Amino acid sequence: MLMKMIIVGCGRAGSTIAVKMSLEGHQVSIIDKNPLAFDRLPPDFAGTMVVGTGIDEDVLIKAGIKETEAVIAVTKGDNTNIMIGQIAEFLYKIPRVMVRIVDPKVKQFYDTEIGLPCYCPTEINADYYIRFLKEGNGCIS
Amino acid sequence: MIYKNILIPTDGSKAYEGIIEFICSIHKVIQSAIYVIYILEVPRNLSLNADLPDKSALAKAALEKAVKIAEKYSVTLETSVVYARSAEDAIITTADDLKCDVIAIMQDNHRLGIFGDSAASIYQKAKCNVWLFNNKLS
Amino acid sequence: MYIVIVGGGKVGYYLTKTLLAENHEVTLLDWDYEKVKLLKQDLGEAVIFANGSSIDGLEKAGCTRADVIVAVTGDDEDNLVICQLGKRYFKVPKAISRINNPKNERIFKELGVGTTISGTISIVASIEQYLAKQHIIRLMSFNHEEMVLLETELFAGCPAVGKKISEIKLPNECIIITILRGKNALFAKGDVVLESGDLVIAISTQNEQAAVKKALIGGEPSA
Repeated sequence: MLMKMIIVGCGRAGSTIAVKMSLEGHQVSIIDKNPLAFDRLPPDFAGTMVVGTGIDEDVLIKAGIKETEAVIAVTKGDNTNIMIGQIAEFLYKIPRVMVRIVDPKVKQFYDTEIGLPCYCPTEINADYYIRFLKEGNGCIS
Repeated sequence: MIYKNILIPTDGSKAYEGIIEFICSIHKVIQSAIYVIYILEVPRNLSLNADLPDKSALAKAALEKAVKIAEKYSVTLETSVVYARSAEDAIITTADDLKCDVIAIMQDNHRLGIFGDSAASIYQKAKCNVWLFNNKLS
Repeated sequence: MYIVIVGGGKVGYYLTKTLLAENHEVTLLDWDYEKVKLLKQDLGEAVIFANGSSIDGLEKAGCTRADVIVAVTGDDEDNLVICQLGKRYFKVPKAISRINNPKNERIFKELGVGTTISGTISIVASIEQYLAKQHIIRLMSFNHEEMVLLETELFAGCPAVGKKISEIKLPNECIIITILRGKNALFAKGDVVLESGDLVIAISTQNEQAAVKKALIGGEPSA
């Protein structure tokens, strides 16, 4: 099933997701406030690139939030991701939303209190290393 | 009498006992009034007049110890506990209130044994003299 | 009252200064060390170095017993998180947020950040007020600029002159509070007959302002 999706933040994570999903045929829009960030994408990238801040509703509309099926927020600012996630989840009722929150305590709060779908790379990394230190395995790749 | 009032903001540590002892020992020469205060930092999640039995006990012990040291030199101290949000700002305002000419402080970064931001800021902001002591005294 | 303010810019600084002068207990948070040092020179121990959009930072500021939390940073996304943490995590009774981009006011409202203050909107409002000054003056506005207190002077030829208050067709969302006639203030009861030169003080919603104008002094309601 091919989807329309918006990715906010064209960093290492955002660009990787965008390229892979685009190659699989999904319709990808990627947003970043810095136009130079799009250099991370290959020249033959088939998706749409939108320059602007993801917390600006007009930018999200330009990227197609009115008909998108998924929104991923992976900018380097936790609060930016949180605001984008809430706009997508609660205002536009997008079926698939996932945002990155680096601060574990803040992630816990938005997960349980607000009901925002989010994940915390800090927790995941820490778990991974702890498992590795204890058991000597846990390396996936 | 060059210095009328000296303020020592003790935290009860050995290092501050050293300062108190030194200043009492030169009391005969300088003849200053010596104020020893304990700044009781109240966390902001409590109101300023909150009851903190553990911290109050520490404060009381520190001030009693100071009085004992002074007795050895037959010096009388003025002691008090000051409730505040931050020691740094309270030291400066108390020095102002008591019209002190000198604040005697210890290096504040015990782990690294250096003068940290709080000592530096007292040094800069105080309207009176500031004597800085380091731990090598004791 | 105990007030926690996040954001040590010009707004945060003057707000803290004003509230301290009114004998409130205030803590101002900023996450820029150099800025905190400067602010402390003037505001002393009211200022702390802490991250206002983190749970640890707000806890250090004593948010658990705060009566009001105010977010006045220059970034709307930060203000949103500060207010949500304050209201939902620390259960602060009132959260107030500054909004930098007026378009975000609706988003904040829908996400449940109740009280918002938009500098830009206030400026726009005061410009509109200036333009509307010809016949009807907006004395003040409240509740997110929705409700307005209006003042208008009646002159000969106004549709309301010579009529009882009960006869004037006012929009539903409007109440005449008082009539200032010469040195007297009259209670706006239904049988008071309006005269030329009366100063009418009324309260209405922003949307009905034009309709109020039409009912009292005539003319087409301007957009």
